[in-house]
Amino acid sequence: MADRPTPVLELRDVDVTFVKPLGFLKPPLQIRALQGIALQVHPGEVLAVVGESGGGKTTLGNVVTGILKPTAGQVLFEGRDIASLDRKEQRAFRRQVQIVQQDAYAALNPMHTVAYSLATPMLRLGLVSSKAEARQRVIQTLELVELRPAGQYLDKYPHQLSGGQRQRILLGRAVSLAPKLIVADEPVSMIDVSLRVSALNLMRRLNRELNLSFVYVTHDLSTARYIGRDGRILVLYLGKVVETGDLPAVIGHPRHPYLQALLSSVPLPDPDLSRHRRKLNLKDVDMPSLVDPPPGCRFHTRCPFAAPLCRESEPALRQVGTSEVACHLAEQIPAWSLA
Amino acid sequence: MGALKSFFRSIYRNRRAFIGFLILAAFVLVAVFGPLCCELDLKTDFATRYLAPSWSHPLGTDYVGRDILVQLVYGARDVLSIGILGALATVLVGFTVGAVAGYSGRRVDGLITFVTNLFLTIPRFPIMLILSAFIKLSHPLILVAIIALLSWASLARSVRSQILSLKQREFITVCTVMGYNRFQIIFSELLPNLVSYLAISFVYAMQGAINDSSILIMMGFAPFAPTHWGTIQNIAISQAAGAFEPRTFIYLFSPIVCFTLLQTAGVFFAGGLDEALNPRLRSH
Amino acid sequence: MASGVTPTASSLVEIRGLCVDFPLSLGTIRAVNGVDLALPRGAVTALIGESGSGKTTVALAMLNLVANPGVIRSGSIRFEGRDVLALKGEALRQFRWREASLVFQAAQNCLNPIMAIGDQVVETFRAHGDARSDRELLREAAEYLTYVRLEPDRVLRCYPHELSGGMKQRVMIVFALLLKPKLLILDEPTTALDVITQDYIFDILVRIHREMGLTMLLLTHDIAIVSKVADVVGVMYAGSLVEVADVFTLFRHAGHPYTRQLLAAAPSLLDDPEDRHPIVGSPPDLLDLPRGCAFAPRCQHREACCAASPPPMVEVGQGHQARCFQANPGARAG
Repeated sequence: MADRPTPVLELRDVDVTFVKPLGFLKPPLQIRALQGIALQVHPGEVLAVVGESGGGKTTLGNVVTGILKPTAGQVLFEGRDIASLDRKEQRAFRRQVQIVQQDAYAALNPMHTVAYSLATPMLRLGLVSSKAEARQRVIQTLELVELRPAGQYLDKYPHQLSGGQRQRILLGRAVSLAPKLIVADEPVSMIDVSLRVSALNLMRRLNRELNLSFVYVTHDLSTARYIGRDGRILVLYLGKVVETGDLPAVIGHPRHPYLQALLSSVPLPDPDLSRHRRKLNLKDVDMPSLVDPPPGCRFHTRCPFAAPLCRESEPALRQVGTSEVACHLAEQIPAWSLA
Repeated sequence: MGALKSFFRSIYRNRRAFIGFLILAAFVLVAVFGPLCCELDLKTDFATRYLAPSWSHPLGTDYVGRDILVQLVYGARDVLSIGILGALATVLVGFTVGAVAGYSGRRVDGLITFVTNLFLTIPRFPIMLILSAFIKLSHPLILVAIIALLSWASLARSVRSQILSLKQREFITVCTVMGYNRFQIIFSELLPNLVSYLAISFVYAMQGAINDSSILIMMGFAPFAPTHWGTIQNIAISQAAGAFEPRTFIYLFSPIVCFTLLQTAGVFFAGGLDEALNPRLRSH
Repeated sequence: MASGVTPTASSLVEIRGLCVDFPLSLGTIRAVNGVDLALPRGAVTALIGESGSGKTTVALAMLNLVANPGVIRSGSIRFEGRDVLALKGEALRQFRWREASLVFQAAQNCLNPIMAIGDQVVETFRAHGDARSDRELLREAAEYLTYVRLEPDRVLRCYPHELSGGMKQRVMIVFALLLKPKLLILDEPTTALDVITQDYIFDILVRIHREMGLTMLLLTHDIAIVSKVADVVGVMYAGSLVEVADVFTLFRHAGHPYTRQLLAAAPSLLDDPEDRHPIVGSPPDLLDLPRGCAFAPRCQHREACCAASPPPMVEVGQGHQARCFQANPGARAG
């Protein structure tokens, strides 16, 4: 790979462990939500982070935005460790990485109008110097996220908008702060299916026109594929990266059994194919808990291909073909296909 | 301005709240403008005692010849000022303490909760009596302070629990991501969500303050306002043979009626406040 | 395959002309607008609809559970010939859960957080007058739990918060099956669940359907989900049923423009991402529905007649109907 510019965001060997006190006499519970995460997001890139709930993807999103500090490892923003930033630089970092959440209704203050919710961050962070200027920027932002005529939305409250409109407001709010990176955590899962594509198209447009990086966190591979078709993908299982690489290549030739199982479970809008597709039967439906992860490869308790080696040692992420995979048997596992 | 209009429209739509609002407004107007319209003459004049209600004395006169209605009008000013000031103090202290406790980390929260619980377990009324007996209540503000001192704790506690749950909401997380500081979050993001709760608490705090102050006055612990409705009741019972003298009935019962009317109006109005102050409920 | 609209002797449930209104201070919302639907016995019928389509209201009406201020204005619902809407009191109570049960959306929140699962099982049985001993009831529940691949010993003793989302949803399915109903209604049974768990739950539902011969009604907004499970699919828009067909026909030769556009708008693993088209416009305002076809403002094929009056249900093929003026049999390519 050619020499690429400094990544906007980089995680090096990040661990996040939550400690839950259990009372006087018992040792506290250690929940190892993330372990040894390494990832890079380059300017203007879309990175899809895929995994199931309990797998650590929301925690990862929180680490990227700086809401959560890792227990170990480094988070680098434009090459600099965010833990080492002074207060002024911290504020700058805060502005440059924004978040768009799943529940647009809960992410907006129900007592504030749209105009207020959009203008206040701009004023607070010093991006505009007067209320009049803020109002102008608010109108520009509304038009940027395709809410037209903008004037109609200014005095509305969140409950007066549809789910899709609210999600656009969230996106607008994030973009109005001129960030370099947006973490979108399941941004379309609460929007009607027929409207998802237009929200995703908007994100793609912002990604291309503003050279804005996106970290798109989801469990839905269909939308991940749609938005990340020119980007990369990172698959998480129980807090560890199991496969990563260019999205079309990884989805076209998944090597890790977990990813293959995920792809076999995604619903397909084709009755014939749905009923006759190849299934990867997992030994156990439920994900083990993070408190007591299985030894060796964390997936071995569910993996249909597990060998004794898998129970003994944890596989490291290594290059197999065009992607990186954490599996001892990556080369032996049969190729997967939709049918 | 638009918010004010929709507030009043919502109150108007709710029959009971509107009636409550009208009655409260009437009391406030009387308290503010009443004393400007009539002179208070507390001179005793046995010749005019126990006069029946007439044009010049709409409620008649009391046991020493003074016009009852005028006394009530002046009394409204005393009652409402104590009530409003007491409620204001209670709500301000209660909200600030509760919000800081709810939003801060475990240690600060623990300390504040400890103090709050202390105040909650104090037997309120006996302490109020004792304090009133010992401290010279020369100025109404001292009474207000005592009332607020013993009333802020339960509001603080419920504000704290509401803040605890509100701060988990995503829109607060976003504020942290956007770099807001703690006070900005408490006062400009969390407070608006508690406005209807605080308004209702204000109305009830006002009633509590009026109740407390009138009982103290009626029992003679704070004899500084001769026209306060509680004082009137006190005098009616102790000096004018209260329930035993039929001619004193108006004097005895009119402050009671005023109290009841005021408190009921407060309850009715508070009932409509939640809907009026919450934009979500307003548009339906 | 029995059509979803024309009732036949083998229909378990027949809904005719159902209209449900929600009178609000701002106006009346017609949540369900003249729906005719027949559920073939022993088949899985799916109702697809996005928010505001009215599908949940139809399901609630089937159990006479439409809550205030909703009012069933007109129409009839016949379950094995009996009029459900006329049932009252004890008869209605016995009908619910014994003959027809419902797994709500996010049913995981329907479990009582302070009771162990086993206790809630016994309570459910007892509420329907079952006088058997606790042990017998738990044993029967244990059979169902094993069926959905949960460990009965562990789960019966657990409290809801000790189980994951997927486990709770499976427990809710067990609850819905406890009294061996004839009809099982599932409202978005897998929202908030992950893809592997979701797929697994649908496998269970297919198995239940096949082995117990249960009639099922599945409500969802995700059109891809139904392709695996459903036999008959109905599509709802703004309170009306706009298309009914068997599942293969619906995906290959959809007759109604809304259905076709929905299929072209939902991203999946099969499509070409460059070739997805969102449905233009926004969902209809139920307080201000257009005079003619509710979908006309957003439809690419609209003509003058579409805005003038609401289209009737038209037969487009064998067991395939669409509510559209433009959906003449053979006139539209699939």
